[in-house]
Amino acid sequence: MNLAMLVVVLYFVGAMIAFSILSRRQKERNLRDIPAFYRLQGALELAVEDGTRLHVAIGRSDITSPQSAAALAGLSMLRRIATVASESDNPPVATAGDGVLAILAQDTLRAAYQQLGLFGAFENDLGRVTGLTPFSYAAGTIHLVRDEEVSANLLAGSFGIEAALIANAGERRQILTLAGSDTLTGQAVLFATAHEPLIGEELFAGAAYLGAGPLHDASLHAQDLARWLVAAGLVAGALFGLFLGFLT
Amino acid sequence: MGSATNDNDLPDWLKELGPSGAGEAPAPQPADEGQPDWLSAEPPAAADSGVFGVEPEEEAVPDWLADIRQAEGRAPDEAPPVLVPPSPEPSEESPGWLEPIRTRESGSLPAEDLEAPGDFMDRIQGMKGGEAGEEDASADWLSGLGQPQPPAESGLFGEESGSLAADWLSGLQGGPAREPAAESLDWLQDVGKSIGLGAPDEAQPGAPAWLGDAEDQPPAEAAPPVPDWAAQAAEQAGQAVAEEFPGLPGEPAGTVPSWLADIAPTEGESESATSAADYKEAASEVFKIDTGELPDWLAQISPEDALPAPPEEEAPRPSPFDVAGELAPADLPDWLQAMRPVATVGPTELPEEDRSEAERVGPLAGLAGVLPAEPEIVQFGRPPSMAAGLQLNETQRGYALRLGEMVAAETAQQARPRPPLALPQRFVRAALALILILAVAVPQLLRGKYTSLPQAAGTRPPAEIQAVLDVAAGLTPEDTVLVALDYQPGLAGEVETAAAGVIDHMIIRGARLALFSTLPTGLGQAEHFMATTQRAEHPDYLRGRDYYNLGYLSGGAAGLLQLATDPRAALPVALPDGSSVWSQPALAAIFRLRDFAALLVLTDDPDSARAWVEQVQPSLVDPISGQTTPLLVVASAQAEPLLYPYWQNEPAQINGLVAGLRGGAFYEANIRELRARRYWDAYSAGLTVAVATLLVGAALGLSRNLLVRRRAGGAA
Amino acid sequence: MKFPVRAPVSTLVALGGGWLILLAYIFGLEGLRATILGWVVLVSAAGLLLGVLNLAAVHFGKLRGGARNALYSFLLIVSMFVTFVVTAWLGPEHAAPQWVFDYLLLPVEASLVAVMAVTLTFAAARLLSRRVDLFAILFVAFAILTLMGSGPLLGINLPIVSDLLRPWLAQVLAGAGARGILIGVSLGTITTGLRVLLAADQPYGG
Repeated sequence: MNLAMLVVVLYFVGAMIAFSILSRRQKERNLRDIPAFYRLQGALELAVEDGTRLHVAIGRSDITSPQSAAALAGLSMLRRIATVASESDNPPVATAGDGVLAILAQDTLRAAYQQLGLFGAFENDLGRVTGLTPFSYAAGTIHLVRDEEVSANLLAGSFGIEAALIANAGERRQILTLAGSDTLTGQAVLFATAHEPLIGEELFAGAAYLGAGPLHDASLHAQDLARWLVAAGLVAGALFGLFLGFLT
Repeated sequence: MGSATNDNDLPDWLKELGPSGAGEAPAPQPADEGQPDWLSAEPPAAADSGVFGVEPEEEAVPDWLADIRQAEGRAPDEAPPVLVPPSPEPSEESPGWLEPIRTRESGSLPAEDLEAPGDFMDRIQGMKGGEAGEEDASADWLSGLGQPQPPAESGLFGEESGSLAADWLSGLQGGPAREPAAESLDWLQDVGKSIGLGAPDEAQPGAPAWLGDAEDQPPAEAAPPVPDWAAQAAEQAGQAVAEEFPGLPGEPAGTVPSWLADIAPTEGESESATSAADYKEAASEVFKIDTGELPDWLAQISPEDALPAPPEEEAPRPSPFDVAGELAPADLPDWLQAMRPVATVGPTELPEEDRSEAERVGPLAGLAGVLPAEPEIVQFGRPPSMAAGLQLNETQRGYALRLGEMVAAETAQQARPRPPLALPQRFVRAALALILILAVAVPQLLRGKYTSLPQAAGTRPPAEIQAVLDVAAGLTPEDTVLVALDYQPGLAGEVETAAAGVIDHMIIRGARLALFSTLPTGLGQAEHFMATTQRAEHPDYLRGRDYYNLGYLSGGAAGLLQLATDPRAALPVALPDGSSVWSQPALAAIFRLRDFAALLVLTDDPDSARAWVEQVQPSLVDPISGQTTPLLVVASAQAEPLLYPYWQNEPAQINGLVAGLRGGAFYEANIRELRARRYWDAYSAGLTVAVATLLVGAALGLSRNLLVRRRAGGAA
Repeated sequence: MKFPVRAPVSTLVALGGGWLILLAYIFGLEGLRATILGWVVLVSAAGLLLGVLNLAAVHFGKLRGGARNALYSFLLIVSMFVTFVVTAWLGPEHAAPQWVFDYLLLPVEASLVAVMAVTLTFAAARLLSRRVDLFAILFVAFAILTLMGSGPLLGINLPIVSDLLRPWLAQVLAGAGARGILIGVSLGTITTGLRVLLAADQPYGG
């Protein structure tokens, strides 16, 4: 029996439920400021008002890999964005570099359209595969950014260095590019190329900042608490190692 | 005009048709419909001033009013006492019989005193009750009366009632000279014939046919008989008139009052009044039966069907005014008055010649077109337009214009201007690309060896590279190495160059290779790698004998976990002869991953390498002996910082690491010079250009920002 | 927590599958885990095929709709069809599919990497023009130092930078920072996965 995994799962489930219950008693949301999401909200409003399109790229990860979590975070954000902007003249479009992710993007958009009572307006190509290798995915997405009246790019998923090409396409069109990736190489290139890079776990907080629900907020709090626990553990372990080294 | 007046304008044939809908009460009308312009512009009806509270226009005192005033002992031009407070100025045209109504509405008279005039209006109202349901469209303006009306079922004309009402209203507006619209009249002609108006010869000379019918024939015997409700209404109207005007001779119950009968000769004496002959002519033209165009449902209605059977007992008709009296008059605010339609549905102000056709005697004296004794009332035609033109002043027009512009701007699909990239930026980008291409291409073309390899002669490579060298050096011809090609085709140049020396070393040692990939492109990647990096050096190293292509492993990390659990199940490759690739000599002894001599992962992605470490590496440790099958990684330079900790771990999770072209150059420096050495000069030149670009860009960027801040500080 | 009722079947399958795999990990049910993983691998391969079909459908729609650059869509569909037929007919190890890989796919992707090299160099050079803060300055400085230590500049190996500074930057500073970031990413991954297992996130459209 994998006891460590059981403890981790129990902690997160318990903490998420506990923070979710606690959040009901609080009137204000205690989330730290991440300016990128404020700009995303602004871009979303502008896109709806302007009749332009928001592009959400959810990456190229395999759904069975750990990187799929980044894509799931991107899908959560896509759901929120679609709920707000699907009635726009140019509804949001989602791109993926993997077939299963594209299907999930379609399902997510379809659910948002159904929720809005706009199911007749839903089209399958609002969630699409633009390439099945990382660079072909980037190349296909560049065309979309250029040709489909995109006013803002949101890259929320697992990207590698190919993200630089997508972000650069936004730069050439002079449109806002907000990007986060779970990979370090992706974050490194996006730090230099995106207008608003999301570093570290900020990507996973996106849906909470877009108002996805109390459990998202609670998961952020559980995540923050766990991070402090891990940091404390690392410091304690380092000090303990130094102490042992000093003794020996 | 008030509602009562309007209702009494209904032609008789419509009243006779009414019984089919006589019992049908008018539909409740929305209270906030716009008031037609003609409604306010037509002053004579006292109901207007009384009910709407709209100040009527000052007109000459009509004769009939003068007569009444004289009878009351007042001067003809003396206005009646103001009885209606909401009305700022009582109409001089208001007939005296309407004053009690006003008074009642104002509450200044006792209820018993108001009974008679109220009843009178009830009768008038009741006379149009049967047709009220037909006035869907025209009755909108009636909502301004605020009179709660019983719900209506479908009127006589069904869905067309609205247009019909508009037609007869337009007939009112049009005057006698207007020709009826042929299309809309055919069926009406049929209806007219069916109800007896098609026999104008029976009418008394000098009187309208409908009056003749009403006068001469008892309700029960007449063909067509006067409907009982009409007779009742006439009787009640007569009683009301008798009470209101005691000077008039009394009339026996059940007969048309004399004042009503007097209308015909009086009208006949009028210049513009239509004579009975005219009416006959008009009716004969109008009420032509053409059953072909008659709707089926209407064709089935015979005159007898259209008329109700006389009731056994007369039920008192509920008076709308009984309820309306409880309601406040509808005062139109200024802004609403400004929105009144202009020249729309109803007749606007009648021309002078039409005014001359006003009734001259009786309570209706002075009212034009109240009773449809003239053929003009059957002049049907479409109203000019149902669309309301608004009386707008310039300010309102300006507001409307701006609002329209704003709405148009919101809904307009404006082509988003594509902001072009600044020219200097495009130029710099193109220049940078050109410089980089030249920097990389020129050394390649020169094929020189100007740059020394990173490892000086006689020195040892970095430990992680030395570990790979040691593992490869320990391989024997009996060993099989599992090689995963987990890199994208785009990065093949770097990864294959770094890995060429390692694979070359393994082949030199005689080891056999099993190639596969977790990427869909891996199958072609494996053949490409062997063809471009090894074929020239090892032409006898053949696929199917010395190395095997196990193809594509799907599932990502899950696939790797399955590979670690059962490699044969994870990669079930069949040879062309149908046998399993695992039956080949090099693989026959492989059942678990740790049966391979080593695992070599070629990757450009640190996450892919991490997946190998997390999912596969634990299965490489023999739980009994503790021996570990080495996991070697050849990675792109971008993955080095992330993979290095796995090498540094104790025990190491990666047993050797060659990263990037630099690592490949180190490796080749210890074996033999291959691709890494060939690209080393180009790599050095490209690196130099990149560093120079970064330095220049950083300096320019910093200086520019400092300059901007200084200027901003100076300006502040 | 709002339990979905719109798509109960898909939700139950997703939740059941997820919890089953998680519990199999925790309680060491290797047989069950291996069985489900076998299904996952198959489904994942089918997902790749679905991706190909989706790509074809999108470009077919563009072609039919007469979209701008429809010529590219036409070329993509034709190339996809030809490659599929040739590979299915001759086998993936035949010279013809290999030719497609060697002379079409690989050069195109390599050229994209070359473009990316230019793009990244230019973006890094412009970074301090776009924003000047501590992290941006550190980013550019470490990038320059790492490049300088990665190989010889103008044919000359910079001894200290190449032997000491770059390894220290890459293996200590970058490694430590990377671990910190990865820990945060891992925590986010866990919470994201649990949100799906708790049906707070329903990417399957519930």
